[in-house]
Amino acid sequence: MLALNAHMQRRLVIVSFLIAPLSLLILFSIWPAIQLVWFSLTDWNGLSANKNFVGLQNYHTILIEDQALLKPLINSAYYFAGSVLQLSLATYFAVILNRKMPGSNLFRMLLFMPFVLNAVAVSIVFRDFLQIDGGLDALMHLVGLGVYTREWVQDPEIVKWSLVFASIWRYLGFQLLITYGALQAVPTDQYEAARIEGATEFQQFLYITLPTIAPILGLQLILATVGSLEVFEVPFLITGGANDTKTFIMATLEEAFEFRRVGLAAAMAVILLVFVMMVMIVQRTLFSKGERA
Amino acid sequence: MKTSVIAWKALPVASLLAAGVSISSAGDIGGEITFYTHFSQFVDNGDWERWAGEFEDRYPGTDVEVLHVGNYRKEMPTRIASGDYGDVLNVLDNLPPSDYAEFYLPLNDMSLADTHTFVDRYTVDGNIYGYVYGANAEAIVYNKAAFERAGIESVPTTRSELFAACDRLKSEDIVPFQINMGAGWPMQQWDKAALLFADDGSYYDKALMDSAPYAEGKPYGESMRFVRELFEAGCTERDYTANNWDESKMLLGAGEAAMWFLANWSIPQTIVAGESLGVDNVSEDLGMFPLPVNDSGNPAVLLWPDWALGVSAKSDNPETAKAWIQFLLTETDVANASGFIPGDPRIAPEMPQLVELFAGEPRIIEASTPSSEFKQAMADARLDFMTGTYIRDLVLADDFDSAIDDINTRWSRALPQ
Repeated sequence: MLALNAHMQRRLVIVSFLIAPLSLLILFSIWPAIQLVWFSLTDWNGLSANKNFVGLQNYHTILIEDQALLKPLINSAYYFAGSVLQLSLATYFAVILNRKMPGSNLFRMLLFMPFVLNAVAVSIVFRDFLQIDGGLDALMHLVGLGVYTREWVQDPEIVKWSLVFASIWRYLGFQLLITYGALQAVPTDQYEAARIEGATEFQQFLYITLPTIAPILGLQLILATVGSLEVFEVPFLITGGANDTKTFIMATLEEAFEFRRVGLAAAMAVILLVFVMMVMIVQRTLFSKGERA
Repeated sequence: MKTSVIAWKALPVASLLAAGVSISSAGDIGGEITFYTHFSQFVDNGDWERWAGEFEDRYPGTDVEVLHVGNYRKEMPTRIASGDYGDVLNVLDNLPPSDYAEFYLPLNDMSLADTHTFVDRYTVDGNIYGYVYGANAEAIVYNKAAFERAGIESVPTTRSELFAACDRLKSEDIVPFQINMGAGWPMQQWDKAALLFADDGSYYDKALMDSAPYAEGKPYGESMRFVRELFEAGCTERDYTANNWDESKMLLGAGEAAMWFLANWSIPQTIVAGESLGVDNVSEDLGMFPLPVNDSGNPAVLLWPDWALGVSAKSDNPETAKAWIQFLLTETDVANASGFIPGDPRIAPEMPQLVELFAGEPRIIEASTPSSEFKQAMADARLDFMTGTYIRDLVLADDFDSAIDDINTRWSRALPQ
């Protein structure tokens, strides 16, 4: 055995603990990302052994020549609108559940359960639920609302909102859990003091709860924005992109595997990455200003 | 080539037995091969195991490993890119033919080169890269019982008769014409139908000379208009978003739906689906007739080759791989078991619906290969040829004419200069 001094031992422990996560990170995250950027500068078709370097041609195509490729990004707006609604719902439920009402554990579990379910399974369940004469229609007939049934995933005016609804259902629990966690950290004595001073429930929420959980809400807003740019499973499995429900990720995949333009698709992925980073930077700056105030 | 379909009628079935003898030098055949197949039904019923066993008995020292791949068109390209794609596999039809040489071995020295059908389709620069399992007759499959219930006495031979039949079926609450738009891929049929509208098997390459093939009156445009018209007339199924492929087979088998434009391969599956609902003798209820694309009264059947088998350019045992293809295509009943018109003209098709369809001696159009240039132009125009998404979007478009204009513009920009 080598005699090691305390300093060396410390180093050895740090290095050996870091090897596993770092090599996994490099192998599965950083290296593919570097490759993605490299592919985006080539005209690779995804099969051939040759990749020709084409410089920024792919970016030029997407941003200038053929802007139709960016059109699916518009659909992200629907999901973003949905995620704002989702965030308010999650906060609402979290505040209610935080008040130790009877059965709150049960409700918490019920609301969180969709997030534990596999996204593909959720999408398939919703596809059947929203189909013509599917679960939703049957339910509406049962409670006497039969005349209001619509073609939920076919009517071009409704389909996007139906998909947003499915998405809200799935991710609500996750946001609820994070907000709920933040609420637990609010000191109870502040509420007591406020009650003694005669503050209403709404005033308590506005002046005590909201400022405390604001950083968490900001974080969730970033996650929601990124999430709405990257929507994939729900529209892919429910409509397959029919009636203009194609998202940017679906368009990227189609470009890569249907039209065999992996280079162009890689450039689309890089553009999305840059977009997401920009959103995060903007929100971070806005948000850290708010914190100082 | 033109005579191939007629040929099987003339040749005695017995000559099939002679076919197996003619396999070339059995000397260097040996070792293991891996075979990637898209046929799951033969995995389930043990046919692959049986055929591989027979092959291994014939050529001692060989070992065939059969691997089933679910979504062949999508999964195999990934395997090919990884460089590990076995010895025998289907020739991917989404590859441009000019790329065949990079991934497949030329198979010119096989005796199949002289006997098989659709060899031209897989020949690039004088080299043959694949031999087809068989061909499909693209025509309307219909349920006779459903037609009877709607009081339709003879099959439609003109476009007007077809739409009239749709109306009568609709009034009997039978879904007249399933297009399976939700499943996606069945929409590729209208890429194929363009050849019928052109009345020309080599139309795809002629479309390359046309800057607006989707315009009204042009074959491609007429094909799109036809399916759009079916959809707008309410002849198709009401639910068009969800993938109801399995359900649609049951409906057709049980006579709750009357027609679809899919080839003969769909018949065995429809029979199984119909019988799973407890309907007896579904096979007797099913028939085929050519798709009437106009009012001329003389519609044609489109012959479309199915998957072809090729040998990987990276194969370690190419001779064994070739022997397996030869054995499979000439000595097993794989083609008939999957409901094809066998690729070997010495084997007669057995499916009663096919026999019945050809008994009427309809005109036959053989689909020729879409060239690399055509496939490339389609991809550059962002039209997913033979996958159907762009056709679905056309059928659902708010404004059909402007959607067509848009496609024509994209197409003309994608044309090789």
